Amino acid sequence: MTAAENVEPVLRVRGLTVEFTTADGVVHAVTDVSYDVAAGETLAIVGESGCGKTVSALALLGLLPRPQGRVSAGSALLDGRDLLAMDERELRAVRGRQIGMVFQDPMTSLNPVLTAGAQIEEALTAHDPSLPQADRAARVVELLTLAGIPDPARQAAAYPHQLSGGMRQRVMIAMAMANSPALLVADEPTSALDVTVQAQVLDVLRTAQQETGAATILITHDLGVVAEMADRVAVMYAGRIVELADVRTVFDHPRHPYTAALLSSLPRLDTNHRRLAPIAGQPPSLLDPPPGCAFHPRCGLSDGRLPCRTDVPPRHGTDVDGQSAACHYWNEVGPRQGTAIS
Amino acid sequence: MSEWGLFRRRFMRHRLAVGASLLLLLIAAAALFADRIAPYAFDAIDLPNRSKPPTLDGWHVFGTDKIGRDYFSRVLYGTRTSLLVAITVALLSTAIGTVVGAVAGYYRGWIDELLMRVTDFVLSLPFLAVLLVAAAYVGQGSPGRVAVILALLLWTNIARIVRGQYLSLREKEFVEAARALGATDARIIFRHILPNTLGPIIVNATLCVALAILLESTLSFLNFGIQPPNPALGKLIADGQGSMLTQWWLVTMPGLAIVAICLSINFVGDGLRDALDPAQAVR
Repeated sequence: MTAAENVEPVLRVRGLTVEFTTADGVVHAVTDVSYDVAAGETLAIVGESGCGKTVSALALLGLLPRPQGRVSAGSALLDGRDLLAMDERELRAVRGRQIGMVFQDPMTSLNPVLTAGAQIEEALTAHDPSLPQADRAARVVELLTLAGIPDPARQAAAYPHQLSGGMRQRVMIAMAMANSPALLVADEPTSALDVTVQAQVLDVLRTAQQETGAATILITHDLGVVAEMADRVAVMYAGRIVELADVRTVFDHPRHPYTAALLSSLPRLDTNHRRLAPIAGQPPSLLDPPPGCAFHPRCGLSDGRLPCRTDVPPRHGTDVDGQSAACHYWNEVGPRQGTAIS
Repeated sequence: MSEWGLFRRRFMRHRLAVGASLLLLLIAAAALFADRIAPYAFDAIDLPNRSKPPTLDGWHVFGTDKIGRDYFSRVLYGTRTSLLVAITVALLSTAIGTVVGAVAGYYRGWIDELLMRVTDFVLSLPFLAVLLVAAAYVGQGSPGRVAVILALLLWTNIARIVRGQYLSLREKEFVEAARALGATDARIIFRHILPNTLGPIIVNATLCVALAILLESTLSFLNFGIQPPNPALGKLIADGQGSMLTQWWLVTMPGLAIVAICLSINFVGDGLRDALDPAQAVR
């Protein structure tokens, strides 16, 4: 449990709903998503590919692909100002200044023709054009040092293709942290990296966050990363948050059958299971989601009970403080056997 | 190795391009310093020595024309005029085309539609007819005006190329990353995307120089381009064509100059394309 719980959150998202208009109809990519993130806290958003985790983050920055994607409802208060109601000019002032974003693939997210230092300087000049060149250069070195890049003055002059994947992601982190944002959004920051480099980059991310006290949203499908980094976890399924709780609670006693199934699908070292336990079936099409609870066709707990097929379950508070689960029968989900991974 | 070092190594491998760029530099330098190099003034009449074939006698290496003007000097000054016009055309049309293509490709939608229909319109104009009409009304004589007219007709190619580049580059993640940093559209267009398209733009600009020389020569040949007393290569050929059979050098020498310039520029363009094309990155 973090001490941050009693203070005003940096970001307060309420009822965020995102739709995409496609040739086949309207895709409900994100539905009624609500969460808070406090300063210094890391909220992990986990879920399968296409469950809406990235879209919900892009919506905050006003970076949804246009004209197809649009926010159809909800609010997202950053320091009391609603991001979703801002016009392009206001958003531009927020992006990179109050919200830093780290993208998934450092191979393609850096501009191949600009040096690492020049790209970090871009982040500085975008928000303070009057900053003298010498100050900018000094700040670049400072940021590269923060990101754990050896020999920063020399690496600032390197082009992206001269840097390794891990180094590039460090540069991305330095860019995101350039203006000491209040909120850091990291979208699968380690998914494109070698396993050996992942831990180092996570370390850098954690250091950067601690130095600036930024609230962090960490988007990932990797439960190992969640266990490593997160204070709290939001599990998304079919565009909705199905469970929200602090990280220990999620791993010890999840209250949504999807979370439980996700955890039991992990390979484990402490049991003798020969095979992994996958979740049967496919995630639903967001074009035409099943009625009632979107998870019920794959749910082992539902057993075809009527409410699951007709009513969308609201998020119930559970007996654990700060935990909520969107399941009609949350109290039937038993505690997890064995130890949590980490 | 630095980008520049890589580029130089790949370009050096292209022997023809290296030779062509040396020749081009030589021609350009000769044209630039025509005042110092030319043995005679381009309009110095010397009736006793008229219609001489190329000879070392009096250093009339390209011969003399019907009123005894030294033809080497005239070709040299003509080259200067033609090159100057061509480079102006290339710079102007590249600038116009790049901005049009960048804006169209970046914003897409109705802006793209509008700009591309304008581009199609200019492309569909019967080139020579429009050139002649335009030259007849506004362009007669002055090299500057000829250059502007040519540029206003030649920007379409580069606009289409740049638009294509922007259409694909705008979807790149580094553009989204730049947007997430709070960069304005103008900054994304010119600072983040433009450097990524420099290769095709430079190559096209070089080829545009060659095309402009040919077109300017055509105009001058048809008596609609640069007017006397300024010598231009096309004009020299036009003046000499009446006596092509008896005084072959009057047509051949400026013709050779045009061929040499255009060929070298095309070779240099080829070499640049190979050296700048990241798809062929040989390390």
